[in-house]
Amino acid sequence: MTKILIAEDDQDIRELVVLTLQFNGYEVVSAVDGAQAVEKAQEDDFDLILMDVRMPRMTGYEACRQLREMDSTRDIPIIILSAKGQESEIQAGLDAGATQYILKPFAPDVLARKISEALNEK
Amino acid sequence: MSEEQTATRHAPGRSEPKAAAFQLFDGLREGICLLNAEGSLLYANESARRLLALDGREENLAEIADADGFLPEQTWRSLVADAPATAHAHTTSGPLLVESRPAQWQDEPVVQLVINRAAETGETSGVEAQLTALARISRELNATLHLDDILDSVLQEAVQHTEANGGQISLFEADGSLQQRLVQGIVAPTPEQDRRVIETQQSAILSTLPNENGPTEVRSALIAPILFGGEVAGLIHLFADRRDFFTPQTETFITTLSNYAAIAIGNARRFAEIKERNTLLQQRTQQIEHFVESSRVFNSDRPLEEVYEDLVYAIQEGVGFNVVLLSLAEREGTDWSLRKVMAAGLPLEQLQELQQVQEPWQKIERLMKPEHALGNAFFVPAGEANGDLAITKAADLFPTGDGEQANAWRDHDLFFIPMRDSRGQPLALINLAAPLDGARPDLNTARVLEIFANQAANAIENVQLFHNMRDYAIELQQLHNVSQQTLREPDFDGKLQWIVDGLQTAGWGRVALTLRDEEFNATKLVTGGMTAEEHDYLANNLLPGELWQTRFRSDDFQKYRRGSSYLIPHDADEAQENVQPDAAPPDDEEAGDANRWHPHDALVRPLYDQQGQPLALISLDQPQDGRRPSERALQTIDLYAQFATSVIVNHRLFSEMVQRSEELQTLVDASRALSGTLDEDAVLTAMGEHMLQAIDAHAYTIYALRRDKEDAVVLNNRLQIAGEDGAPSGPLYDGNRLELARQVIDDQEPATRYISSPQKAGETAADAIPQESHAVAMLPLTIGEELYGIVEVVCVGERNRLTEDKLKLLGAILNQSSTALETVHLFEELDERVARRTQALAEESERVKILLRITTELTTSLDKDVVLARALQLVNDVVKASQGVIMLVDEESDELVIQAAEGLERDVPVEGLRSGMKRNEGLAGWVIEKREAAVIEDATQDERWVGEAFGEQRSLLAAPLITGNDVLGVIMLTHPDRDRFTGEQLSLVEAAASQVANAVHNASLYDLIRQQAEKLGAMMREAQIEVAKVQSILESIADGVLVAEADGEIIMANMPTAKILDMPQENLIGKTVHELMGLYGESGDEWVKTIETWAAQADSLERRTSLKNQLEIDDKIVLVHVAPVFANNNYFGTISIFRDVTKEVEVDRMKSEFVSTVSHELRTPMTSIKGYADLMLMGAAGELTPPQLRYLEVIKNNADRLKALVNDLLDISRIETGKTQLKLQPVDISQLVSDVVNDHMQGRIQHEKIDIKVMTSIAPSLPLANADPDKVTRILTNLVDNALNYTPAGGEVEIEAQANGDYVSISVRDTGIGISEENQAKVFDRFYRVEESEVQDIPGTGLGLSIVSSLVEMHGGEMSLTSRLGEGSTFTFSLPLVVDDSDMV
Repeated sequence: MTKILIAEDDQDIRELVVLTLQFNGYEVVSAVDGAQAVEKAQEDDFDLILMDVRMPRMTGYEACRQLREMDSTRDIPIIILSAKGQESEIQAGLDAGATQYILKPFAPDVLARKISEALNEK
Repeated sequence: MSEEQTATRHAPGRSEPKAAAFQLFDGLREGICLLNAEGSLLYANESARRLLALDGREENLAEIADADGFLPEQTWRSLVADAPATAHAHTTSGPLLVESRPAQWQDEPVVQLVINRAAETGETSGVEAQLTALARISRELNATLHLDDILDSVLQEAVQHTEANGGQISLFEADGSLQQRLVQGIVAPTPEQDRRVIETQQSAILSTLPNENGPTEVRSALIAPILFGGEVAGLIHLFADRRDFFTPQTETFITTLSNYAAIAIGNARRFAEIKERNTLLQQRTQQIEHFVESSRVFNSDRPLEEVYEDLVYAIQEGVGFNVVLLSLAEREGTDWSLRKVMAAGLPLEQLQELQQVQEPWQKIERLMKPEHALGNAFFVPAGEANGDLAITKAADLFPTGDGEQANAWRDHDLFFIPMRDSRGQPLALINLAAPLDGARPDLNTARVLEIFANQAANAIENVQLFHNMRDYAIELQQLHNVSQQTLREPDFDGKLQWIVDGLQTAGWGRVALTLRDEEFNATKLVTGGMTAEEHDYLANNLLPGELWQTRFRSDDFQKYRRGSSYLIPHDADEAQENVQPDAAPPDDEEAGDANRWHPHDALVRPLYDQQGQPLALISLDQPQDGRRPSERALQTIDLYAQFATSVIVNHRLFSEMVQRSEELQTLVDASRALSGTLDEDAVLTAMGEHMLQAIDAHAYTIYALRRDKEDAVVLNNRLQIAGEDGAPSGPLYDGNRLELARQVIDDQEPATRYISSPQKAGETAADAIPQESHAVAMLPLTIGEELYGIVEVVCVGERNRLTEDKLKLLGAILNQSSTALETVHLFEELDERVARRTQALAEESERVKILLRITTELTTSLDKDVVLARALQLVNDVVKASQGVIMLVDEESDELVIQAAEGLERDVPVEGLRSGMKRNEGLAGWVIEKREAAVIEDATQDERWVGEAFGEQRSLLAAPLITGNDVLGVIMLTHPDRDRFTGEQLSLVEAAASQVANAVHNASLYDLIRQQAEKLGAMMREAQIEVAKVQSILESIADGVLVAEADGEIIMANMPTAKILDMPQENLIGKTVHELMGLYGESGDEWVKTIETWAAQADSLERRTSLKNQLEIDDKIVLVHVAPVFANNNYFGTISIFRDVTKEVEVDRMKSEFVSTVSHELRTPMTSIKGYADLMLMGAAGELTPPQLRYLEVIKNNADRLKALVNDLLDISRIETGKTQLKLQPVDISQLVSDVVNDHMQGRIQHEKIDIKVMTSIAPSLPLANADPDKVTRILTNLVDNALNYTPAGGEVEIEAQANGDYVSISVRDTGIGISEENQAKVFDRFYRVEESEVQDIPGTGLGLSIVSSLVEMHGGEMSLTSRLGEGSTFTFSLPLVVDDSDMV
C-alpha cells in the first residue's frame, strides 16, 4: 500500500489531508513539524511526502533540504503544501528540493489528483 | 685653581682650541710640559707645575731655569733642538729625569717634556751621581772624537762612581785579539769569565775571585761587554779589594757606561773611515788634474805652432828618425798645395828655406804608387822618381851609411805618410828622413808611424777646427755686441756708426757706409778708420747714383760678384773709380799672390730692402790679414750687412710712422680748430695756418671766387697771412699764377707749379710772392657743390718741397675746412629759419593753449548747458565780440534754439531761447547748410543776413558745430563795428567749434547712456526680484531642484537638494555634475552620464526626453528626475528634481509585506473551511441532506470567492511593487484563445450550466505575439469570466483576434449589461465596482480589470473599452508581435 508522510503543524489541516488521503486509499503517517518529518522519513519507507512550509522547529524548506541530502530519502517525491503563494516563495520551495508546490487552499480532489500524478511519474 | 683654569691659562692665544685636549694630561703622574721651538712654555700640567715649582713664574721655562740654576739653559735648548733626548735635572724637589720628544701635532714645532721623578725613594744621591756621570760622559762624547780620551773618561767615571779599586778597558784589535787599552788601579786577568761574557754578551759580577793568577788584593770583579754593531767590541773590567763589592745597581750603571764606550768606538771608527776616504779622494783629484793637464794639448787654445812642434818631436822620438817635416794642405782653388809648417831635426834657416817652396798635393799623389806602399805610408827609394821633394835635400844633413847593406837608408830615400781629415780631404803630410838606426823603414816602422800620424791627424784637425770655431765665435760675439750697442743707441747715425765700427773689428781697416735712395744717390755717409780729411774727400767724391745703378744692373759687373758682395780687383776698369781713397801704393813684390789684397782692390756690398730697392752700400778696404776676403769673411760681412739692412729699414719705417703721426696730428689739430668756430673768417684763418704748419710752407693766400659783370672770373684776395707783413688784399694779378688758378677752377683739381724766376716786386705788390724761386700749389675750395675759391700755398726754395704726400695732406685739411665752411653757412641759414619758425610756433602755441583750455573746461562737465556757456565765454575772451550765441538745431521743430549767449541782456533758460528761425534761414542757416565758417566785414551788407543778432551788429564771425556727419548748430559772434574779426580768430573759433560740437555730442551721448542705464537698472531690479522670487519658491519646496548649465556646471541647487545629496549648497554650486561621479552609486553615475550625454548631443536632443532614476544615498532612497532645459531653442542645461522617497518605498514594502502576510493568514483557515466543506460534499462524512448540501455549497462558493480575492490582491500587490516579471516568448494567440475557450469557458459553462453562446473569430495565420503566455491567459480568462458573469442567459460572447500593424488585437465582446459612460473610465480602477444591483450581485473583487490593464501595459499593449449600458461591452487589448528577423531577410 502506498505510504505517504504528511508534515503539517496545523492540526485541522493535518487531519483534513490525512482524511482526504485515507479517503483516497493511501496509508498516511503524520508529523507535526519539519524535524519530526525528517525523523519519521528515516524510520520508515515513504512513497511520497507532503510538506507544509511554515512550521515550528524546522521549516518545510529546511526539511526538504535535509531529506534531499540523505540517501534513504533523496528520491522520495516531496510536494509542498503552503499558503505562501508569492513567486519567490514558490521558487524557494522548488530550490529546496520539492517536486511540486500546491498552494492552499486546495480542493481535496485536486490534491488527490496531483498526488496520484506525482506517484505515477515516479 | 681648577684644572680647567690652569689649562686655559697656559695655553694662550692660538692654542686655546687645544686646552680641552691638554686637560687629559692633568691626571698624569708624569709632568708634561709643552714648549715651543724657542723654549717658551706653552703648557704645564699639574705634576709638572709641582715638580718644577712653576706656579707664579711660568713665562719661559728656560729663563726660570737660568734664574734658579737648577735647569741649565743649554739643557733646555738642546732638549728643544734635539728632541728626543733625555736629560737629568735638579730641582728643589729633587732630581728629575727629563725627556723631550717632539709633539705629534702638525702646525707648530712643539716639544713635549716628560718629567719623571728620578728617585722617589730615599737613595737618590747614588743614582744622582751616576746620572751626573753619564751626563758628563755624554757631553764628552759630543766634544771629542778621540777614542782614547773617551775610554779614559769612561774608565775614570766607572772607577770613581763605583768606588772600585781598579779597572781596565780592553778592545778587540783588527787581528781578533783582545788588547788592554786602558788600565787604572788594581787589575787581574779573568780569561775564562771574559770568554763567557763575550759569548753571552751579558755583563757578569764575580763576587769572589780565586786569586790564583792575579794580585792578592783583587777580591771581586765586574765585567761588562762593550757591544758595538751587535758584536762584542771590548770589555770593561772593574775590580775591588773586597768580596761582594759590586751590586746589580753598579752593574746597570757600568752597562750604561759601556754603551757610551760603544758609541765612542763607533764614532771614532767612523771618523777614521771618513779621514781615509778623504785621503783617497784627494789622490784621485790629483790624478784627474794630470789627465786634464795632458789632454789640454789637444783641447786648449794653445798656439798652433806649439801643437805642431809637440807633434813633430813626438814623431821624431817615437818613430826614430832624425828629420821630421810637417806640411799642411791648403786649398788653392780646386787644387791643394802643401805648406811646410814645422820640422824637427832641421836647422831653422833650412826650415825657412823649405817654407819658401809650396808643393802641390798632386805631386805627392803621383808618388803614392802601390809598389811604394808600406801600409798607409810610402817609401820611395832613392833613384826612383821622387819628384825632387825638398825634404830629400834637407835630409842630407845627416850622413847615412855607405849603403853596403841592402836596407840601409840612402840619401834621397823618401819616406812619407799623407794624412787626410775626417772627410777624406788632404790634411797634412809628414816626411821622415835619416833614421836613427840608419835602416830603411820596414812595415813595422810604417805601422808605428801610422799610429802617430793618425793621432797627429786628429790633433791637427781638432786644433784647426777649434781655432776656426773660436775665431767664428769671437766674430759672432763681436756682431752680437755691435747689435746690442746698436739697439741701445737712440740716434740713427750712432747706430750706423756702431755697424761701421763692427766691420772694422771684423778685420777691415777702413769702412764706408753710404745710404742710398732709389736712384742709388747717396744721402748719408758714415765712415770708420778714416781721418777727417779722408772722410771729407770721400763725402765730396761719392760715386753718382746713375753710375751705381748701371753697374749693378750690368751683366758684365756680375763677374766680380763674391756672394752678395762685389770684389772689384785693382786692375779692373772700375777700380779706377774706386770710392776708397787708397792710402798705400801697390807693393810690386807681392803682386804674384792671387789672394793678396791689392791696395786698389775694392770690396762693396749693396744693401736692398725687401722690395729690392737699394738702401745702402758698404765699401771695405785694408783687410787686417792683407788677403782678399775668404768665404767666411764674406759671410761675416753679410751678417753685418743684413743687420744694417734691418736697422735702416726699421729707421725708415719709424721715420715714416713719425711723419704719418705728425700729419695725423696736424689733421686732428686742424679739425679741432675748424670745428671750434662758426665764424667764416676764423675757419679760413685756421685752415691757412694749419696748411702752413702741415707742410712747413712759406705763405698762403685764399682767393674768393667772384664773377664780374661780364661773368669773368675775378679772384679777390679774401684772406692772406704772409708772415709779418699783415694781410694786404686785392685781386690776383700775377699772370703766371692766374693761369694756374684758371686751370684749377676749370679742373677743380689741385695743381702745382715751380716758379724759378718770379716777377719783380712791385708788380705783385698785393701778393705775398717771395723774390726767390718757389713752388706754388693751388687747391680748389668748394663748399657743398659750389666752388668757393682757391687756396694758394707757397713754398720757398727747395725744389721738391711740394710732394704728392704733402698735396694729399693739404687736400685733407681743405676737405675739413670745406665741411666746416658748409656748416658755418648752414648754421647761418638755420638761425634765420629758426627765428621765423619760432614766431610761427609762438602764435600756434597761443592758439593751442586757448583750445586746450576750452577742451579742459569742456571735459570737466557733461552737462550740455554748462558746456556751451563756458565754451562761448572762453571763445569770446579771445575774440572779444560784443555778442555771442550758440544755437543748436532742435531736431523736432527744425528750429534754431539759442542755448548759450554772451552780451545779451536776457538770461538763457534751461530749455533754450527760440530764435524763431529754421535751420536753413539766415547766415546761421547758410553756415549750417554749407558746413563752412564765415567772417563777414559788415553783415548788414550781406544778403544772407536776416538780423539774427540783437541790436545793431556789423562784424560777424560764425562757425558750424560739426560732429561726424551731423551739424548740431552754429556759434556766432558779432560786433557793432565793421571788420572786427581776423582770419586767425576764425580758425580759432572753428577749432573751438569743433571742440564744442564734440562736447555737445558727448553730453548728448552721456544723457542717452544715463537714460539707458537707468532703464537697465530698473529692469535689473525687477529681474532680481523675479529671481529672488523663484529662488525663494525653489527653496521652499520640498523637492530638491538642481540646475546645471550645458557644460555641467551647477548654477542652482536649493536647500532640499543639499539635504538629499548630503552636500552643502555652497559646495554644490559651481561644481560640475561630473564631480559628483561615483558619489551616489551606479544610479547616480547613470544620472551624471545622462547629463553629459545630453550635453554632447545637445543639437539632436529630443525636447521631451528625461530620465527617472532611483538613487540610494546612505539609507535614503531618492528619486531623481532629470530633464534638459532649452532656452530660446538652445540647449541651456538640465534641471534635476530630487525627491526623498524613502518613506514611500518603506510604506510600499510594508504594504506588500502586509498583503503577503494577510493572504497567508487568510489562506490557512480557508484551507480548512474549503477542505472540510469539500470533504463533506464528497460524502466523506456520510450521506447529506439537501439543506446540508445547499449550505455546504454556500460555504464552498464563498470560500472560493475569498480565495480569488486573495489571489487578486496578491497579483495587484506584485504588479504595483514591480515584482511581476514577464517571461516573454513567441505566443500563438489562436492556440491560446482556443485553449481558454475550450478549457476554461466550456468548463465553466458546463459546470455552472451557463446559457451563453461562445464564438471565436480568429484571423487566419495570425502572427506570433511577443508575450508571457501565463499572463495573457490570465488576461483573457479574466475578460471572458467577466463576460460570462455579466451576460444574462441567452446572450453571447465573442472572442476576436486579428493582426493590427505591429500588434495583435484581441477583443472580448459580450451582450451583457454594459457599462455606463461615466463608469467606463472607472472600471479599471482598483476595487471599483459599478454600484448597480445587477453587478453587486455578481461576486467580484473589483481588482480583475485593474490587473488586466496593468498586465497589458506591461506588455507594451493597450487596453480599451467600448460599451453601452444594457447592450454589452467590448474589451480590447493589444500585444506586440514578434519582430521576425527571418521574414525580413
